[in-house]
Amino acid sequence: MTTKTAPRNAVSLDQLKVGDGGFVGKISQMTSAALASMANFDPHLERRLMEIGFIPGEPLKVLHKGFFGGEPIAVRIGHSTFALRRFEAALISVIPHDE
Amino acid sequence: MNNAATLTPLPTPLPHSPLVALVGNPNCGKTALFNRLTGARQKVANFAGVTVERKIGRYIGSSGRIWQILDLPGTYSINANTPDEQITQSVITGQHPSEPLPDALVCVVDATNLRRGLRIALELKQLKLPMVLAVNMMDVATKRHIHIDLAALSATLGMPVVDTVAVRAHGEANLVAALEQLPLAAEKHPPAQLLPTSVMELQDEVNAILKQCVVNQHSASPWTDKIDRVVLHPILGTALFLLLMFLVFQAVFSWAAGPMDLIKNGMEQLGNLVQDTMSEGMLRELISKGIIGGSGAVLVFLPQIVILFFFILTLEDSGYLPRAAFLLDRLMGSVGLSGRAFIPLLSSFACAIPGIMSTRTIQNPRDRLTTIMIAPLMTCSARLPVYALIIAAFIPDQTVLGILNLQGVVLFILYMAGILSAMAVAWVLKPRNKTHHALMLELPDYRWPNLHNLMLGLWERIRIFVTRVGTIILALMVLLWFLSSFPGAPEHADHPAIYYSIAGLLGRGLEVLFAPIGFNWQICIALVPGMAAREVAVAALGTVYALSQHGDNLAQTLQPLIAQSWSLPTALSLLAWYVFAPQCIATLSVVRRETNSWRYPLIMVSYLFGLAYLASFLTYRIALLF
Repeated sequence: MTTKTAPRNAVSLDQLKVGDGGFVGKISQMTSAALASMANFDPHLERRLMEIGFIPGEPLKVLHKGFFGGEPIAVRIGHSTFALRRFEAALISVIPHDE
Repeated sequence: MNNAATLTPLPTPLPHSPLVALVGNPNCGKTALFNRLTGARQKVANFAGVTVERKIGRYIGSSGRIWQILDLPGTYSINANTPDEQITQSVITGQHPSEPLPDALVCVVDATNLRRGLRIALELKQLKLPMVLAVNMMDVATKRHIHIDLAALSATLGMPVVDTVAVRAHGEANLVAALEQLPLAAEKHPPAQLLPTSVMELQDEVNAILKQCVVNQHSASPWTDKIDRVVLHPILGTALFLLLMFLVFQAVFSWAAGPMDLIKNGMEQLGNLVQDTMSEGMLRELISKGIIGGSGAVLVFLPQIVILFFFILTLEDSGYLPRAAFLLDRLMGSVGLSGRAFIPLLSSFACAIPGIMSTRTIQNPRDRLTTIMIAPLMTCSARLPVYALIIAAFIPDQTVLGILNLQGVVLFILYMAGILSAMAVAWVLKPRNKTHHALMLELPDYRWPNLHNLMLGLWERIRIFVTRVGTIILALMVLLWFLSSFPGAPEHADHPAIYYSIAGLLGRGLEVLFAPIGFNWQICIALVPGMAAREVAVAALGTVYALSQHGDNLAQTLQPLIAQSWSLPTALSLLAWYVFAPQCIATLSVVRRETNSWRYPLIMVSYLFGLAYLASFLTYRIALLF
C-alpha cells in the first residue's frame, strides 16, 4: 500500500503483529466503496482517532490482540493505551521502526 | 489593638458564589478531584434534554467564599463531535441554554499523560476565561521519576499551574489556594471565539512545551504492561475473568446472608412492636403489614446490591473493567453489541436502573439503545425473592451429578436464560446492513482503588435504592393494601375477604388472560403491584394469601402454602414469566428519561410482555405433558 504522503514501507495498523511498533503515518480517508458499505459510518471517526492520540509522528506499539480474529487490538499510542476494532486500525497507516 | 482587629476581616468584595467548571480528559482523575473538593455535597442529575450527567457540588473556601463546582464530562477535545463534547463546549462558551457561563475553568490533566492533556488546555486557553491548570496524579508521576517544572509550565502557558493528588486527603489544597487568587471579574465577559484547531498543530505545540518543562516524560507505568500480559492474555485472561465473575456472584450470595437476616429480623421486630403497642384496627394493619412488611421485603436486598456495587466500583476504579470489555468485545460484537456494553449489563444484575444509566459511556447511539433494551433481561436482584420463594417451594433440595445442588442449578439456569435471551434479542436488533462501530476504548494504567471514591459511589447507590423503597414501593404497598381490603367480604362468604375486594375483582378479570399459562387469580393480583417493583410480588402474594406474618418471614410461611395450592407446571410457568417480566415502572421511567421518548419504553414493555407470555405458555404446556 503506497500513498503520496506516507513513505513506501507504510503499513496499516491492523497489519502489525503484537510487539510491532512505529510512528503514525497518517489517518486515511475512508474509500468511497468502504463508506458505501457502512450506512451508519461515523463521519467524525478520523478526527476522533486523532483526538485520542493517533496524530502523525506519534510513536505507537501493538500490545495485545483479541483471541478470535485478532480483534480488538490494544495499541500503546503516545502515553495512552487504546483498544480499537480492526476496521478502525485499518484507517491508520504506520511507518514501522527501521530495524 | 482593639477587639475588632482580632476578628477575621470581611472578604472584599462581598463573597458571591463563583461557578467553576472542571474540564479534562477521561481517566485523568477529574471526578476524584471533584469528590475531594465537594465531598458528599453534590447533586447528580442530567443536563437539560440530554443524558449527559451533570454533577455540581459546593466547596467553602478559607475566605468563606462558597465555590460552586461543576464537573463537566471527560472529553478528549472540545470539538463538539460527541454529546459529551457538545455539552462541554456549549457550557464553557456560555452558549448552553440553561447553564450559566462559568466564572473560571479548571483544566485537569494527568501528570503522567501531559502529552494528551495539554492539548485540551491549549484549546481552553483560547477562551481567555480565568483558568487554572491542575496537574493531577502528581504522586504517580513522582514515583515514575517524571519531573514537571510547574513554574516553567505556568510561564509558558500563561496561567496558574498547580499540582494535585486527588486520591490523597488535602491533595486539592494547592488548587483551592490558586482559585482564591484568581482575578475573577465582577461581571462576566463573554469568552473569546473558539477557533477551529488542527489536532496536529496543537500536538506540535504541546510536544515543544513538554520538551522544555518535563524531564523523563516517557516513563510508563511499571506494572500495567506486566499485569496486562496476564489479564489480556487470550486464555489466562479469559480464565481470570470467569474466576472473577464467579467470585463476585459467590460473594453477592454468601456474604449478603448475614446482613440480610439482620434486616429481616429488625423489620419483623419493628412490625411486632407495632402489633403489640397499637390498638387493633385498620391503621395497625396498614402500618404493620402494608408499610413495614412491604418495605422490609424489599429493603432486605440492600446488602446484595451494596456488595455487587462494591465489586463493580472497585473493578472500575482499578482499571479492570475496560479490560473485561476488551476481552468480551469480540463475543458481544457477534450479536452487534460493543464490548463497552459489558459494564452496564453487569450493573444490571444488581438493578437495571443504574445499568441503564451507565450506558452513557457507549458512544454509538444504536449500540447504546440495544444495550438499554436488553438490560432488563439481566436477572436483577429484585427477581431473586420471587425465584427464591418458588424454588424453595417446588424444587427438591437434593444433590445432582454428585456435587451440584438442584436448587442452585435451577437458579443458574434462570440466570443463563436471561443472558442467552438478551444475546438473542440483541442479535435480532442488530442492523442487517454491514455497519462497523468504533470501539476506541481506553485501557488506563492500573491503580489502587481509592476508598474515599468507593465510599461516595456506594453511598450514592444506597441513597437511590432506599429512596426507591421509601417512595414508589411504599406507596404501592399502601395502595395494594387498600385495594385488597375494600370492599369487605359479604356475610357467609365462601372465599377469603380479598376475593371480593377491588384487587380480587381485578385478579379474577386478569385470570381470563393468564389461565392459558397456568396462573390463578391470586397470582394475577400479585402481578399488578409487581408492576411497580418485581420483588413486591412476593409481599403481594403474602397479602393475597391472607397471612398474618411480616416482612421476609412471609416468604417462609407462604412457601408451604403455595407448594400445596399450585401445580408444578404453574410454578415453572411463573419462573419463566419472571425471566422476562417487564414489570418495573422505575426501569421504564429511566428508559424514558434516557431515551427522551415514550417510544422505547413502550417497545420494551411490549416485547418483554410478549416474550414472558410465550415463555410461560411453552413452559406450562410442556410441563403439563409430564
